[in-house]
Amino acid sequence: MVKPMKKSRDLIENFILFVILLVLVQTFVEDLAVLLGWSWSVRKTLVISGFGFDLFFSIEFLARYFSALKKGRAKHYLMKERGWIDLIASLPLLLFSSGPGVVALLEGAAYIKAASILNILKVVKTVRIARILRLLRLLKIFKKIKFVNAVMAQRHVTRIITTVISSFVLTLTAVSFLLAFVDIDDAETDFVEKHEIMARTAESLLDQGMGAVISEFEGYESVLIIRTHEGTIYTRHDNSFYDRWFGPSDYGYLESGEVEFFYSLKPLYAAESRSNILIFISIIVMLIVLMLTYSPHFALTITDPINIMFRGMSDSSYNLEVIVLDEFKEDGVYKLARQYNEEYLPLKARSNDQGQGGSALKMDDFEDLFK
Amino acid sequence: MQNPSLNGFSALQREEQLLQFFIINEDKLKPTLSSPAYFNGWSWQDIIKLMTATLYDITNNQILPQIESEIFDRTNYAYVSFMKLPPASDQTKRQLMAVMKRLLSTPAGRQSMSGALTALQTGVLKRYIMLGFERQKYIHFELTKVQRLRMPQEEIYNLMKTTILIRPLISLFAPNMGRNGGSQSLSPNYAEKITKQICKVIPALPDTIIRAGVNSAIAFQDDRNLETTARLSSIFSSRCAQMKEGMKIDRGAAASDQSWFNVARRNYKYYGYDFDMLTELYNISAENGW
Repeated sequence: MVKPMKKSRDLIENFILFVILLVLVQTFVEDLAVLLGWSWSVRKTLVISGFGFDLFFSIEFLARYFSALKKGRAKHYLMKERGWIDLIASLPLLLFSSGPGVVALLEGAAYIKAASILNILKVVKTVRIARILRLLRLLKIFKKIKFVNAVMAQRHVTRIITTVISSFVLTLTAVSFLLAFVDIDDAETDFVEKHEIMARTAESLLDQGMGAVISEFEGYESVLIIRTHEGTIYTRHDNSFYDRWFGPSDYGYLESGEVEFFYSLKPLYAAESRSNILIFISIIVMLIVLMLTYSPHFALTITDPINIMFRGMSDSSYNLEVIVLDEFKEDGVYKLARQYNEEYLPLKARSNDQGQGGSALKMDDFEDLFK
Repeated sequence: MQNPSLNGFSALQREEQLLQFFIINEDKLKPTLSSPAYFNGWSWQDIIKLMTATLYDITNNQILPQIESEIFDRTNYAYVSFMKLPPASDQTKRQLMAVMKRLLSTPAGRQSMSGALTALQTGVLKRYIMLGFERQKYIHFELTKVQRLRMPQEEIYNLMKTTILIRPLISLFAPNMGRNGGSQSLSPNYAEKITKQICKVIPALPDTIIRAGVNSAIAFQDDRNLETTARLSSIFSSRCAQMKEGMKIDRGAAASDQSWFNVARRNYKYYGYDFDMLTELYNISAENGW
């Protein structure tokens, strides 16, 4: 009965790992889609799939948490089994990132309106930054990979990687979140103000009866549509193009007198996506570098000498010396290794020679005898 | 004998490990082995006696042909003529083989034979003697200038083979000697007495050669004029008695020979080894990753 339960638990755990892998790909592709200006239908699908993943992981977290709570191990799950990663990489994303995004899609929310555009952009920016938290799920995959042939090395390297990556992601998220609410002239402010000036200019030109000059806005790629009560006086693309490539949140909207001014927010989103991709790649590279450089270093300077000394002390026929690396000779482990080489092994050799070394055979080697 | 824990050990070492195992675990093994399923009601002494006899038979079946081959086919005794001694005959080989069989009938003899046989079987002795000679450093100087062995290195190796086979014979006449000599070194006078006794059982072999074999049990600190072949024989008998062939070298560990020679350098006074010789052997092993 126990075995099928373990089998199905393993199956579920492997499925979750597979979903984690998928969500990482999805996160990367979602940003790539924004950066490369993919069609709205593709981006919409990615937004919905992101919500699906966040919902899945939120349910997974709640299931694990309440299961642990029932067993009185909630604290252990959160602290020792990295439940805190499950938490911050699921519920906050669902509530503040993909959830509101999908709600907006379902409501068919229109473009971002003029009055509070800057505040809204800051919220949008913060929400996009929060998506970085998804990268913490990488750590869950990493936890499952057996990359060093020693439990202690695996645990230490995992802890280092978890500490480095989680502190990087959390600091980035927290600082970006705080900075979003600091009143500074940043690229967003500049971008919006530039279009406010354009809207006022358009109004002024129309008041002066110079409507023909409006076509000069052609040179500003972000300007999409200029409308008055008489109808559209300028549009960069036809409606089918807007339908295909623009979603409701891609439009910025300004009113200046009778003029309605629509412009594209895609350049701002692309800049955010560029940062996210950079962070994503940085984290992946950081993880790989730590795995490839720190793991062997840890094995070389800690686990290998300890393993040799342990074998030397537990196996009477094992008499290999630890190679003491000159550059680490002052490390505690190597000081111990020197003692092992210089004191223990010579004494062991004498003891073995006097027939006190025991046998390489253990009672376990003859278990058939006692059956 | 085929237990995986004994992989890498020679036949004599396996036998020794098993006997050691029986002694250490007497309390646990006795009730089981005395049960009706095994030796119903036998005393522990009788069981051990039977086990030992069976083990000896199994081991002898493996090692006697090896020893015979070493003595009769694989050792060239031409070195005797280089030493200006009477040439070795078939009788020499037969006498040597006979005393080896006698040696193998005693527990101490079997223990002391383990290192010598492994040194010959595994080729350890050959590779170090050849390299030691080619390097033209301490070992070469001691062999050619101090011991004045004016012969090709192949002949020196054959001489070493005979010397290392003579060494275990000490246990026939000095039963209290440790397996490898150890701290229980022979005094030069006692060694001379043993040499004379061995000469009586192998009269066809020149006493100079027998003496070098017996002198390998004298501590170098007690006799600075000890034959180089004796000093080498002492080291390689001990080294090979503890050797485990095909031993996996863990990452971060020194190679097997390198570790052994370095540990032996720290114990050189205890065992009466020649420190400089150990240092050269250590260097050879380190240079070659042995």
